[in-house]
Amino acid sequence: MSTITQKICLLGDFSVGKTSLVRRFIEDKFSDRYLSTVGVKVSRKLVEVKTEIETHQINLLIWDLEGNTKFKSIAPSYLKGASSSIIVGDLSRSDTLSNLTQHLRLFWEINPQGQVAVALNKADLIPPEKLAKLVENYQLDNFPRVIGVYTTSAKTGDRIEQMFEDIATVLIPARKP
Amino acid sequence: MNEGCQNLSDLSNHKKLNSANLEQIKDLIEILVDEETLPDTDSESPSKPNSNLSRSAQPDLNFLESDSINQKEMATEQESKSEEAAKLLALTAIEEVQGIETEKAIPEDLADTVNNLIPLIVGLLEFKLDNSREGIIETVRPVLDRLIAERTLEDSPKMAAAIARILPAAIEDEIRLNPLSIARAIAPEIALSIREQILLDADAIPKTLGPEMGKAIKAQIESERDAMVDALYPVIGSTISKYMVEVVQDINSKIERTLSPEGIKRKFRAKVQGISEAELIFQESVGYRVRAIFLIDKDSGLIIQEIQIPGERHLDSEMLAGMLTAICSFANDCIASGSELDLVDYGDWQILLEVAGYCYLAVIVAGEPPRAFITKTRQVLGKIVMEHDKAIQNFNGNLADVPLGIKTKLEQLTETNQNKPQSSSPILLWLLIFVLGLVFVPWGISSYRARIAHRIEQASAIQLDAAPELSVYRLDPTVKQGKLIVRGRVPDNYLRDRAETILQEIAEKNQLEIDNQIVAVNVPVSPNLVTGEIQRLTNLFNQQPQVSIQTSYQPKTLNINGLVLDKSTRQSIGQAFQQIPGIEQIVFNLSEQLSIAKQRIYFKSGSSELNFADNFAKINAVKQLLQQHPQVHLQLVASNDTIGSYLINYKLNYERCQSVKTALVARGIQAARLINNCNSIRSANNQDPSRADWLKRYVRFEPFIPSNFK
Ligand SMILES: Nc1nc2c(ncn2[C@@H]2O[C@H](COP(=O)(O)OP(=O)(O)OP(=O)(O)O)[C@@H](O)[C@H]2O)c(=O)[nH]1
Ligand SMILES: [Mg+2]
Repeated sequence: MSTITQKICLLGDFSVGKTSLVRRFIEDKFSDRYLSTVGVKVSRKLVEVKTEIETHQINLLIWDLEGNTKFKSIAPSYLKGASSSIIVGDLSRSDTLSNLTQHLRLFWEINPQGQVAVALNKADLIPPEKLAKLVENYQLDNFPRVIGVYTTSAKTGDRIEQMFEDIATVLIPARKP
Repeated sequence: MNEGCQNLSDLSNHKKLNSANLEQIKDLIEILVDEETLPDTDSESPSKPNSNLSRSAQPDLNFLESDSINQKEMATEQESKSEEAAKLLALTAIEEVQGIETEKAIPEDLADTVNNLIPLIVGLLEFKLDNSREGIIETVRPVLDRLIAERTLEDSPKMAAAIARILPAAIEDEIRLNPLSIARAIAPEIALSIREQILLDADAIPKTLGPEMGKAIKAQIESERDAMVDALYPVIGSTISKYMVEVVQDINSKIERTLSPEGIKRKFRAKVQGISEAELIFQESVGYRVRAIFLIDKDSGLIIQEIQIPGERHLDSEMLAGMLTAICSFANDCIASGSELDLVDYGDWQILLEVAGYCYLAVIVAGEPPRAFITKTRQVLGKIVMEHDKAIQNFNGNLADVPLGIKTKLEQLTETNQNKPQSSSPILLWLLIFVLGLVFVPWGISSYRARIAHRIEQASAIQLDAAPELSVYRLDPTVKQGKLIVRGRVPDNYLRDRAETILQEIAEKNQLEIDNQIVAVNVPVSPNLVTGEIQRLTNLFNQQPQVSIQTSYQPKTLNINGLVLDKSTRQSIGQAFQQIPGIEQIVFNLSEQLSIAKQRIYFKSGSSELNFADNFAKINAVKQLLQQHPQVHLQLVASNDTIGSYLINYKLNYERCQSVKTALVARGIQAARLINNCNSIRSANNQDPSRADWLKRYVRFEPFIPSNFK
């Protein structure tokens, strides 16, 4: 069994639910209160991934970054050295969704080899029949190194575990010959 | 010509001459005269001494130009006087030789005559040498370049070989005579030729220049100190200023140590009033302690190597390194770009930060580390970076790839960390420390204890608060004389014991005894309080998506109705309600466990078509359950096999969920109750690899109850 540590960043506009996603993933808790993140909050979780050959332990160091607003952009230096990121949008605010590609670019500018998962969050606020349609507009599969687009909800916990697991899976280092 | 000279010296050495010798001499003089510019005494006028040479040169140098001839003639006129003398000399010599021949003299006379002749011949030779060289040079100079050009065209290797021999000497000469013009001639090509040479052999130029570099820099500093300082400052400025600050501090503390008794008295008073100098000396006498050392990747904040001292509380190094890195990059971005954070100070602890290249070193120390220690950290980091820079630069989060040498080097920093101040301090200082010690050590110890006690109290309060059943009661932990005392009131003994077990752990860790002074007031439970608590818990549980319950309470009995979608939650619900005082019996009235979660609809490889024949029973069971429990909603979740690309599986998953959904909607289920959550793919790697592929392709159901249906 191998253990590696990897840095992973959450970025997206303010109040899209980055902190809530991390909180649900790590503590399995959710709160309706909005406490804007200042700077960075670093947390950690060990994820196990089984492959055909062996079990890998991936120690995810999760950097929950301050969301960007009209007046303040994300500090690129926080993104340095991240092997992957979760780009988060809020399904109930379309402007946060159209900003997704901008965040993707910023991340790739700094980590050209980085893997990305896209989280379309607050899926619980969208009527199920509208969800599929809405999501179809934001399929970012034409970008290489996008692991997947996930309709998450920090409130119900939907798809979050899955998303982190998938990220951990792609972070397993290639086996040395 | 050389041969002629040789013969002559032979002659002068051997005085005995015979007629054969005489013949030789005669020949020699004739040759000289013939080669020389002497006129034929009969036909030529002596006023044109050089015409012979000019004529003989002309056929060869037919490109001679007329004005250069004029020039040459003018030059030769100036020398005509000395030529005249030479002519005379030559004529005399010939006459003498002819005289000898005709008189057929005896050998003795002959020798005498020859001896007389020798100076004449030598003079003649010398003249010829001087004069003809000048003449030849004069004649050839104007056409030399063309000569060389033609000759080079004809046979360039030979020409090159010929010139090569004299080239170094020629250049040397020219540099001596005319250094500026040589410099001008070579200058434009120097850069180019160095570049060429670097291309050919990258190491050669550094090897050649390297040894001279030090000298060059030194010389440059001597001649233009300010310019050099300006050039180097951005690189070493901050290091130097850091160093200077430390030196100044060092000097200050040395000055403080050599004080007059009055000064110490004053200081002492200042210290009694709580001024920081006291703390400084106090801390020095206490020493310092390394708690942990981290080598951290500068960009990502990942730990490359860590050392934590056993016996100290274990730090969550990864989070710490992450936050430290975030703080550093924040400081660098927003406060002082280009410089680095080098110290974080909190309470008794300091984090020393030393940055180098791709990594930085964070050393967590208690107390005030001496300057020597800080210098040592710098040296250790320097060594690590020198030896392992490649490994550090390529660090990818895998600790197994980190070279062992890094750890052994870092361990040097933990070795002699209990430094005491040097024993050479003056006696007065010791006296001062002693007096201060009398005052501050008890104070220090008690304040240290108070701080520890406070920390334990806080930790206890947080633990008590974190237990949901205790969080509503006010419990008050205090630490006193080796005991952890807890006071307060709770409704029953269960909660009293519960509080004790929670605190037990903290007490043991800090070697304290528990004194449980909580009073269990068996309050006759007010029905209001009980129903309030029941309502609170009911709401709490209903926030979970698997739970939808209603509760009703008659004294002593609680009825729970509704739906709980999984077993473990059902158990925890029971346990939670049991703890409310006043509830003695709980009657569950829940619908049976939903078996939906176990249903899986399998698919053919590459297909999203639902096989009704195979899945009829499953679909029907799901439908019935949904009809029975109108509040239950389903999430459809798909799993895929390992065949095909991400994109293909992604689409398949989505379509498979969609066909399950369509089938259920066709059977009268509202579409809104079915959420297609297949728009991301389940990584096949997470599935049991021993399973058959067909077992990996399925859609399953995750029941939940939305909050507005409760
Ligand atoms: N309904 C619903 N609300 C959510 C969800 N996720 C987050 N929220 C709410 O959205 C608000 C913002 O959430 P945060 O997690 O603090 O957002 P953030 O992206 O970290 O915000 P910044 O730190 O300011 O960038 C909070 O009030 C959350 O309760 C979700 O999945 N569903
Ligand atoms: Mg946040």
